[in-house]
Amino acid sequence: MQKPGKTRKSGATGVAGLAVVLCLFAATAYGVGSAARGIFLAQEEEINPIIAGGDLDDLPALMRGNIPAITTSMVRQEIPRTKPPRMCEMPDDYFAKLDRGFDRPAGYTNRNEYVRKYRDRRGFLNERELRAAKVAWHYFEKFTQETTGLANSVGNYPSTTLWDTASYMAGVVAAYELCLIEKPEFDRRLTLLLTTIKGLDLFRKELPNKVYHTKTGEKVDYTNKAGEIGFSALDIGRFLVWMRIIKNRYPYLGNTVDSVLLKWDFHNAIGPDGLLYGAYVDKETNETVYAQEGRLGYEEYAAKGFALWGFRPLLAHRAEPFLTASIYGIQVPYDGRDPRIFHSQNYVVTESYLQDGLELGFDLPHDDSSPEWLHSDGWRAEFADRIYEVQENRWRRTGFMTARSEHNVKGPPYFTYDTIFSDGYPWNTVTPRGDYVPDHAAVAAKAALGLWALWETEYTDVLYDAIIELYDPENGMYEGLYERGQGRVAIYTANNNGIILTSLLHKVQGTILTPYFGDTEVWYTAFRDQDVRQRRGYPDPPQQDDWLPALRHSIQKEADF
Amino acid sequence: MSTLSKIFLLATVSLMGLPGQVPAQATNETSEFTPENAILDTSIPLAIGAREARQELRTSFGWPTFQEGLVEGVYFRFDPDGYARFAPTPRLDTDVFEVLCRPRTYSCLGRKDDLSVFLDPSKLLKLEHANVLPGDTFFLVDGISEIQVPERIMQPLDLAMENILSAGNELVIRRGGTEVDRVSLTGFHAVTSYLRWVDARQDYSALPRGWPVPNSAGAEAAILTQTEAWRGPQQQPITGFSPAGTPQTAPVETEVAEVRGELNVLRQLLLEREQPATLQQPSTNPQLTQTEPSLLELEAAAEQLRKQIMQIRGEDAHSVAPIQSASVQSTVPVAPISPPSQAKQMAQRLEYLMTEIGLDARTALMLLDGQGVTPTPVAGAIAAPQEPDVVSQILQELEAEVAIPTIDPASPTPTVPIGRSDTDMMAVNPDEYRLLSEYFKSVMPQ
Repeated sequence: MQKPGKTRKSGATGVAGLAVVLCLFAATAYGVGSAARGIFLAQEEEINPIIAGGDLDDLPALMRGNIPAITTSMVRQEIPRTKPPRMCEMPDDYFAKLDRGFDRPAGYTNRNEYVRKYRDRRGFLNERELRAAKVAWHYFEKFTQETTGLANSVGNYPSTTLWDTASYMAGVVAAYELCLIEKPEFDRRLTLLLTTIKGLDLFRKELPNKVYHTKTGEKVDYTNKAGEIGFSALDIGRFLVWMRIIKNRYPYLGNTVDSVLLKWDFHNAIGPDGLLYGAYVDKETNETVYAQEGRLGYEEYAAKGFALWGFRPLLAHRAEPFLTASIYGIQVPYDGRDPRIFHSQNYVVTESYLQDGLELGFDLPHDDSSPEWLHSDGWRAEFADRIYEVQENRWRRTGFMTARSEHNVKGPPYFTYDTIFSDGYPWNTVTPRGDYVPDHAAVAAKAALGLWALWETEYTDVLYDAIIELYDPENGMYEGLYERGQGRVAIYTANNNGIILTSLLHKVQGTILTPYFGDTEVWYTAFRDQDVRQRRGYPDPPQQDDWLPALRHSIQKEADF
Repeated sequence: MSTLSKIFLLATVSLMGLPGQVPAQATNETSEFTPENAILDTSIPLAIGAREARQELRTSFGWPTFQEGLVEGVYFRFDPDGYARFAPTPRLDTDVFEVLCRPRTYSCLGRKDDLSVFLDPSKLLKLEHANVLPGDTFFLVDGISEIQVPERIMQPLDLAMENILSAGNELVIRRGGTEVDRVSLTGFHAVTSYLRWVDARQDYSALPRGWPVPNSAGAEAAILTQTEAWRGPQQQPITGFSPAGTPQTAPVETEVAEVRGELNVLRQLLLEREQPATLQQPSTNPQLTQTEPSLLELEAAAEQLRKQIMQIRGEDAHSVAPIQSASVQSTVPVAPISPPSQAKQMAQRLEYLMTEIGLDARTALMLLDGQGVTPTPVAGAIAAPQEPDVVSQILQELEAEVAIPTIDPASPTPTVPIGRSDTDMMAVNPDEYRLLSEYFKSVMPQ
């Protein structure tokens, strides 16, 4: 019986209600799902906007040469340095406007850059310096072979190495920038030289032989007879520095420069660990032997030469393993690899530090924007200061003028390593076979003027007076002045005259290496359609991750006796 | 040593006038690198343990290799051009003997301070000192004691003097009791051996006895086992070194030829002296003066042997000694020395047979008498020509002096050689010495 006021619902009504509820739930779920899907899909499109050739695009090898090499000016939005004008084109107040950073305290910065306690010497050449420059250039005028454009390493002896050829290139650049020669002569010399080098018969189709005959361009042995010795990674490294200097300063020579290097095979010159390897021929088996080459000083300089062309000699650029020897209160760094084990002497000389300072400004290869008083390869500048200070201290405490470097001598043994430290001894003067020959100790002209250019001090003024008139107008600058009073080192070399010209050019223009202003280079784009680049070990344009690291080492706070 | 001093040294070497050399070159040429100056192969070790190493060259020229090692207590290094340094420290920095060779020749000179040593034209070592004057005296000092050495150390050194100097002491030069100079001889032996080794084109047979010759597996080792090159472990006569400039294809033949040549010279000299017409003529041959000391020595030895014979005879040696002494004295100025020389030769052979073989005097004499003149090992290096007349004369003299007393039946107490009984003497079979003589002929055909 049904009570009054109450209506009885049928079962159909309940079923209908349930259906409505289900429909509403389904509609809601669909709506939420569609919205979520839309949201997620939209987010995915925003996260992966890969654009061909863009930053996130995994470039195929064919296209990797198209991107520019990344430098500090690009990353830090800094203004790159510019190429200074030639000396004869400089305004009179050119040096008055230079930022010398005199107000900056010496020491490392947060980026491991280093500000030296000393400043380099800047200004126009005076009459004495200009005369020295002309005499030094006369060496190359006299001893360059017209047939090949190669300059003799030593006087009229017709042989040369890539190291000394780089010194000749330095001489040509300096002569042009100091207005000793004009552009037609400059172009003629460099074009002939680069053409000859491009046509050189390589050592076993890899890299240039250690020595070439300058008259014929033949590869020769150390006795200047036809043959092959091997290649030197250090020589090639220095040559690469000057090839980069020429290419950056004179872009119209860029294709010629690139075409020289694009004939070479680098895959054995740099190991996977970033060490530099030279090659020599095993006397018994006649097979090529690749051996690590370079010790502290030269090794890092050569490594930076390779890095300027995109290679990554990571370990070669590091100072380790190194030790220090306390000499006149200065902790002089030397290579820690034991000569008894590795059969390679750990000579400490001035030259490699000078070349780094004069040509590269103690900067890292990717640095194209730091001011000249700030050295991005900090520890190199700090070590160079020690090399300078220990020589000044020797002069102050013993009276011996000291500017030590490797140098040629007249007569046997023809060449000496006149070192600050080597083989466990300070001020060790040794022959290439290790004999101690103190009578060959000398003030090396190139070292003296290099120190004078990079360290503006009272001591380098003394060195300057000793060396600046040490020349034979017919042959060039003498190699040096014997320390024990035997007079001049009466021999004339390409390396000595080239470094002297570089030092004089540095006074006028500062760091010799200038930035590259092109977008890309044939060096990076050539052979992209072949496997040549892989077989020969050609690199891609270096990116920020490829930069050599800026490092620091402990600074000596006070004299250590 | 500085470059300047090396150039000076090179000029000194050039001016020495050593044989087998190219004409002197200008100093400026020697100061420049010339690959033709290479004379040595640095891969051939001078001694056990030496190794060839690569020079660390950063220039475009120079010697690509060198050799370094330790021998006879001194470290050494040498280049392909022969330039070498010997010193007691591995750094080669103190007490250095330096060797420089004349460009493109095997003529080298060792030098330490003012002392120089080199091989003279006859391949004998010769010392020179820049501060030596006539009358200076020389001493060898070992830190505790000292001995005086004769002035002839400044003449070509004989083997005995060379051995004395090789002991590695200090050579002190005094003038009137005042010390003029003192030079360490450390490394002298190694340097002189090196000079000979270079002169012999790196032939190991030139090195002295006891030198640590490497037992290498190379071609040189094979050569060592060949009789043509290997002359036994004994130190070889220094006259055996081939002259500079001569190929080393047959060093033994060259040496034999030289020895024979010298023997011929001596033979001719002896023959000349035997000629009565030439006895009173002063000799113009410069080599004659060189042979006189040795002839005097031979005469003295003969006299000594004669005394021994006299003692054997039991006679008073003084009864004949004055005659012989006078003979010796008279021969010195004009050199009429052939008979004493022959006598000495006979005496040597007699002594050899008695002391080395063990024959008694009689048997030995009979042997010599039956053999004629047979070279003995003692005289082998200077074997003289056979001169039957002289020999027979000497034999007659000796027989007269020796044989008569021993076989004199009238003597009541005949003299018997020591250790020999009369029975032994009488038991000698004539066939026995003939067999021995045949034996000597077979082993010493020359």
